[in-house]
Amino acid sequence: MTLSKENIAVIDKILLKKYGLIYRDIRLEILDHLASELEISEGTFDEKISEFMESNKEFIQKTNQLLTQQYSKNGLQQVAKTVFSLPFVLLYAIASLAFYYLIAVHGKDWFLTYFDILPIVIPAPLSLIELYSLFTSKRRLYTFSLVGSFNMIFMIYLFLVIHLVRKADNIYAVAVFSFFFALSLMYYYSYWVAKQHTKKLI
Amino acid sequence: MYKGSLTTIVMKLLEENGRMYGYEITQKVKEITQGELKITEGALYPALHKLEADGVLEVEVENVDNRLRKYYKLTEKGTAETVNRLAELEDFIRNMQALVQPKITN
Repeated sequence: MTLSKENIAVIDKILLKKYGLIYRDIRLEILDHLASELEISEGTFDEKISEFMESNKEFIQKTNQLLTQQYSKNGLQQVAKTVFSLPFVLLYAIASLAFYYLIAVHGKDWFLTYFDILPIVIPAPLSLIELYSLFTSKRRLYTFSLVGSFNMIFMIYLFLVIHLVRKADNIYAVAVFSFFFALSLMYYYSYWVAKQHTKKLI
Repeated sequence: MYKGSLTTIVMKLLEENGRMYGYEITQKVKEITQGELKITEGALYPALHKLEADGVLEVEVENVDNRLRKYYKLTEKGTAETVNRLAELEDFIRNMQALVQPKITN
């Protein structure tokens, strides 16, 4: 049988509503797999669809579960890749020198008053945009796992590391703070790269 | 199926066929092995995505029959990796054969 645009929309809706495949990048691939299989079977779409989807229940759920787990790992790998990249190292070195100079000139109290929250403030707009996209049909696990992994690191800064920065000697405070500051800037670059990767799925 | 063999099978098929989509891969394996070897469908896509994340595969998305289809093909790195993996697999098969069916010498 040949599947019409409407038939494809029905399968897509079942995957979204019944099986909870909320991410578009996961759904499109499972949808194509199911549609390819359905196309080679006999009968009409309306006769077949319920039984067909039920017979593929395990495949749908298992694939969704495994891909979700895998993407979570990929997000963390992307963060690690960013940290070990040359642009990050350069940015980290420049930020360290700049902040060390600022502390030397203006003092640590001045620095803490204006800067210590920056690694949380800088990524916030992008995180909010991605959070908003979760409520639209454009949500993609690829970018969401990346954003989730980065934000986990920024939360560690907010709840733990920021206290170290406040208490530590200048040199250590600058080293730790600059790391998170550089990461918050690289977050935008990594997100842009991930967006380019998923752009073709629109 | 032995651990790690799925990725080697996928890479070999892509080396021979240029680019393929998920369902096509499962059908090709069924066809070649005459149904003896069936890829666990839940495992195929995570394997493809892992290979893509590792830079072994790249993806092309096309609109086919009213839906989007992801085609996978080997990258340059993937092509080199396939040669290595197949050589390793051949060694493995030869060794296993020697162990399972040793030649009887007088």
